[in-house]
Amino acid sequence: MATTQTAGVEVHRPGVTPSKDNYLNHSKGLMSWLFTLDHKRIGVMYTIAVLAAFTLGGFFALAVRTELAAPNTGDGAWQMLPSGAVYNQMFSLHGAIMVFLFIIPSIPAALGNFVLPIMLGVKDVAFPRLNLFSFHLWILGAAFFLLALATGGLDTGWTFYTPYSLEGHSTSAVIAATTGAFVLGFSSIFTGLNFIVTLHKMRPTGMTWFRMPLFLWGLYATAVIQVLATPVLGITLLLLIVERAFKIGIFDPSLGGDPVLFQHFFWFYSHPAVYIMVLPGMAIVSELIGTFSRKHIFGYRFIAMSSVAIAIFGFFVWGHHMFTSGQSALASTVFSGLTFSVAIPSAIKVFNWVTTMWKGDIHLKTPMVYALGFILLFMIGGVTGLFLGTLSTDIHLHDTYFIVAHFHYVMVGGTLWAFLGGLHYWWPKISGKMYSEKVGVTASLIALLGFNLTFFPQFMLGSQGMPRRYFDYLPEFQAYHVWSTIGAYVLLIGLVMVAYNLVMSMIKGKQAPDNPWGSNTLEWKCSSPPPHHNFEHQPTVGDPYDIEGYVYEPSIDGYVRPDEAAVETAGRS
Amino acid sequence: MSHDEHGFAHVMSIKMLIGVWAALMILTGITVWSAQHHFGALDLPIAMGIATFKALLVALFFMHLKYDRPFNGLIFLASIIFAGVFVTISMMDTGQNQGAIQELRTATGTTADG
Amino acid sequence: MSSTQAPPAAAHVAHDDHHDHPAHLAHHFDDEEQQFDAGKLGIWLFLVTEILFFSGLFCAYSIWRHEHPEVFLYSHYYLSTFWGALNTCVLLISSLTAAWAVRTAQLGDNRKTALLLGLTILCAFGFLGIKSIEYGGKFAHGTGPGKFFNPHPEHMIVTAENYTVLVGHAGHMAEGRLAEMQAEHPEEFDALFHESREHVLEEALAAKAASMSTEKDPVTVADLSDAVRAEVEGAIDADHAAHGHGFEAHAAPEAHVPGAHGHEGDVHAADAHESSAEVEHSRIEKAMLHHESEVVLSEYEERPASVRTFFSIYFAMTGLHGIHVVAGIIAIGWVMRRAMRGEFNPGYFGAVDYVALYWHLVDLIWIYLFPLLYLIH
Repeated sequence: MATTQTAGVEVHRPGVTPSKDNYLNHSKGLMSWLFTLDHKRIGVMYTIAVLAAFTLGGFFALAVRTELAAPNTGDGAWQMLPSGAVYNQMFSLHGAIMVFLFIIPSIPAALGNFVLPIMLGVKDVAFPRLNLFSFHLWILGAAFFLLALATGGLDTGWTFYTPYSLEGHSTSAVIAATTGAFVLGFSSIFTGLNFIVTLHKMRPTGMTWFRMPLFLWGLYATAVIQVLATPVLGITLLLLIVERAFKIGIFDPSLGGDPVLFQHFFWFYSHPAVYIMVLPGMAIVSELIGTFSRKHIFGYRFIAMSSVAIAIFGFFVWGHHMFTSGQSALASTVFSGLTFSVAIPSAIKVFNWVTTMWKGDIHLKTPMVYALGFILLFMIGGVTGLFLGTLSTDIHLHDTYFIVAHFHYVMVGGTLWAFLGGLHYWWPKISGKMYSEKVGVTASLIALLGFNLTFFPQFMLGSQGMPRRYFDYLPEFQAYHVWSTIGAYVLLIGLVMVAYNLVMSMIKGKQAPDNPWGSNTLEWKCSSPPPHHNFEHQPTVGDPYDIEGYVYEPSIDGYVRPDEAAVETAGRS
Repeated sequence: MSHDEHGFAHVMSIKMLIGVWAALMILTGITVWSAQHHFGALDLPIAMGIATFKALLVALFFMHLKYDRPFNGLIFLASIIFAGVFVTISMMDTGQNQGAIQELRTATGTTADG
Repeated sequence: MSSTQAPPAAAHVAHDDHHDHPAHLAHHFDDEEQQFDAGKLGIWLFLVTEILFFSGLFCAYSIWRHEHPEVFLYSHYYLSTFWGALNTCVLLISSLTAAWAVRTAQLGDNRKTALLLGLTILCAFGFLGIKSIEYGGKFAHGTGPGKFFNPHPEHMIVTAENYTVLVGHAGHMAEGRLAEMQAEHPEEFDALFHESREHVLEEALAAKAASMSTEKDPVTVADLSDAVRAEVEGAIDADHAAHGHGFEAHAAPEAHVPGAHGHEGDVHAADAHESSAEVEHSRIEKAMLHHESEVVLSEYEERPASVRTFFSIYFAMTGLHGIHVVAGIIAIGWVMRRAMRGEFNPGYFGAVDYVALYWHLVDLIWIYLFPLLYLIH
């Protein structure tokens, strides 16, 4: 076991493994990062990259919200963007960048890459080169999106629906953006493939399937969707590109093609993709709830299996995006019925989280505040989803702000909240530093307030008939729009505080202990930050949620396990 | 069929390889021959049946699935099932929009191609 | 993300868990079998994505074929069964050599492995060569995909080489259609019957009049007596009573147009099978068949709308498959080079196996593409 020999004096504090050589300083120089095969560095690069994309997508969101603060004509009229066409580009780019560049890779590729092998107790993912290749593909895909921005802007909405995408004003922008999404799809496929193989073939002795932490179950279910659904997105976008470039007549109605067929193709991927977005989020929350309730997670197998169930059910409900698209009545009815099935495993998870907290010793640390925010937001998003899955109500609510609010509650409330929760949870491990709890919790609450202020009024707007994607609106909708815009800026303040807090922690944060939260999953059994090969020696695998034995050690602001510490000390001497 | 020398993969015998290949060639002949003859509604099922039989031969022997870990065969099967779900459910809507498409093409005078 | 503690000399901490690893075993695997299994599962998952990738095209194909069967029937005459079948055989040979290469790699015979992989690549180039002949023909005749679809009229369906075949085919189609008409639209059928009878009668009367004419004394139809008319009419009806056995779809041994004609240079078409027209029909029925055949032929000449989409789908499917063949050549080339360097042994042959699996999938997709595109009825 590593002990620090500094000037002949052995410095050792239990619970803080001094690690001279860690993954951050193992080698130096930009190239040692850009071409690294270390999953941890790839995870960190992904984190930086997706946050940059998030910032760009957020900029477009603010442009949209600011524009919508007031109608374009009448008293107090206000028009910030030069034209409706520019507005179309703003929301299209916001959606496409957020979905393809941020939400989908955020948890699996960024946090998952960092955490998965360590949590599993192995040195790396099964195919480190493929992992790096995924990241390079992400960069290439992002470059295509920037190209779309530069060549006239995308104005089709993030879904690239035909015939808009065949008629939109800029051929090069549509082709650049779809090529970008195509490339990003392969980045996502390779990440998923890598994770499945790692989880199947690399599990060390003792790490049976049902000893795997729930985060890994979530990533596994996600990876299954990535591998099965994303290729269909690939071929869809490829066909769209050749349709636009060569007029082949598969989707273009003027050539006899069926534009609704594009929607089938698109949603066969994109509905399961909603679970690519939310399953890893649920998985993070499953980690956080147990740890910060200081209790063994309730219903481990149900949570694990419900992830797999959601992944599979998710493939059979795509038509609920097409109730008003000219889909046949039979298909709509079948899809509406199937849609409700997804509610069952989702509710099983919520039940188990709540039951885990029941009579727990809840520690309201920053990650836990995000986890609770997640449950609140995901519940609102999920329940409003039932309204929309109901055929008759959806006819009224389709393409209104109700939909906008619903999917923001699911995607932002789900993915972003879980991502931030996970980022704060693993931050000590990633950076080796502790951030300010006070700032962290405050930022989280401000963001939660801002988010609800932004999107809750949109449910009202939608149910009163405000259509989505409109550049202008009637004065009667203004009050809700104003609240929504104010909320967006409050959310911005919260997120800026988050960034400030994390950046400051790197500059002057305290050294993180090995196990700041008292969790029993394996990533807390190596130093913070972990060494290049993750573990100095193979950790023993037990029940990942057996956290009763940990006690708080104030001198290090972290947790130690007296029985284990004794063993280690004995081994050291 | 020779025994496994290394314990973790099956080695196909030459006899087996050539036998499977010959069967594939014969089946190709049969499918071309059957295409010259009319079997009415059975034409497509016959062609697809022969193709599927050929695909099975390739998958089981050339691709070693018969001797491989069952899980690899399972995911292969799963991919075909999911592709089937995709094609079948998408086809549920076939014909739904043909009328509208025809109307549009007549109205915009785009019926001719080429 | 800067450094945490300054590492004095820790830049190269030796991870001495490497030393018992053979060179071909990556550091994060425990043993050769784990490495092989991981790679194998990885390549299988990749093949899964490939199947779903192609499934989009198969879906587009199914929907189009279901919506517009006439387009597919019409268009497949432009594809050469001969080239298609030849390419199928070429790919099957390459699959055999690829599978054989896996065997030799497993046995550690790098020389044979390299040779067999070389043969595989050769076949792959052969496949692409044949494909390019076909593609070249398509573009030369203006039947390219999408906006490259601009066919020259003389290259559309009715050409000198295939006309006779088509006439036979049209006769066959006409028989089927008449049978259908009789069953489902009897009033239409009756109308056609009477029209044809009138037509036959007119011709017979004209022939009768001509036979009665002499140089000096021309006889026109109008001059024929009622008795003569009745006699001719009676003969026609008697003929129909004797020989008219109606139309029965597919009753006779079927004639069918052999695969393809003309454009790609194979002229094996003309040997049409015995036509069902051999069956003796009454004169009225023959007239009806003639009429219906003309309709069929005129339909061929007036090509159905959206034929370009068939060629788009054809190019999309075979083109994407072709791209996979090119990728296969590169991958096999890389593995062949490694075999030439003698890198494989019974404990390490995964790369050959994985590349061969990919190659078999490319073959497998072609196994479906061939009947779906080239052998349509």
